[in-house]
Amino acid sequence: MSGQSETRRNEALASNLIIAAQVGDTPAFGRLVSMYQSDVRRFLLKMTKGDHAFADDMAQDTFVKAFANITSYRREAAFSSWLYSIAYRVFLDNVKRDNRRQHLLEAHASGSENTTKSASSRSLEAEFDIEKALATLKVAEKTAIVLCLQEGFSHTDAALIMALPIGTVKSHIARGREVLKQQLRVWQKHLQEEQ
Amino acid sequence: MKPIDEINENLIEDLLVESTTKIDDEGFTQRTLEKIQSEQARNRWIIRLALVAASLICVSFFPYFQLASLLEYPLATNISVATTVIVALLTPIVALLMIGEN
Repeated sequence: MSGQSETRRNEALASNLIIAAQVGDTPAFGRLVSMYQSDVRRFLLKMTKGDHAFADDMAQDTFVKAFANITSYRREAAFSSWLYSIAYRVFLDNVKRDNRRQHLLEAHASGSENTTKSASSRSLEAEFDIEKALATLKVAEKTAIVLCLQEGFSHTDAALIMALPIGTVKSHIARGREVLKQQLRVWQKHLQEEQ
Repeated sequence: MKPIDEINENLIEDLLVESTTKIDDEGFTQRTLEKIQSEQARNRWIIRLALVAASLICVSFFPYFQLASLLEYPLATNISVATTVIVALLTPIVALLMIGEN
């Protein structure tokens, strides 16, 4: 997984920057932001079903909170897991506070209209819009799937990020996977009928 | 031949991995650092204001406690000593904070 290998490389490089940031070195924290911005923004973009502006606002809040609390980071988990846990809490807090965005916490049968298309469309199956399919999952199922199957986190890390027991995370993944498979079956059936 | 469910399982994993694209910075880091710096400046002002307010409260009560201690009211004497110490400590801290920022 590209995200996972990059994250692992970053962890080693980030170690010295974290120590510097913990004594108030803002430029060092800037380098950390630069290293992790893509991962955090992509995660929040998926959580917001493609709302770039909202995702970026929350990503900024995530890094501001991370800087304010960086002295409490004790290396018990990977820095990326710690950042994602802040991002997830920021997402839940923002969505719960904003009535207009309550739909982001609910599963939708047809998905959202502003979801991005899958990058590859080399085959008929690849045109199956995975982002739209993800939008049909419940928020916890979607988060668990995104963290473990897309971002490459282990079940333990995902449990830490979501502040849930590991067994619950596994069940969310299993249920989410099943819903995605059902969606794919419907898509394949639809294709066969068209041909 | 693999069962269709197994194929679909692999296909879903492939599609999920395919959609992890890197997002370009496009000034995000700069904007975030600016926000952090403005938050830090705001927090420093809040601390300064709190210290100034605390100093003013202590200073405004100071004459009453001095007067009470002159009238040999023992509790007031203790409070008078305490407020003197607090004012003596807070005033240089506030002054240093003000000078340090300007």
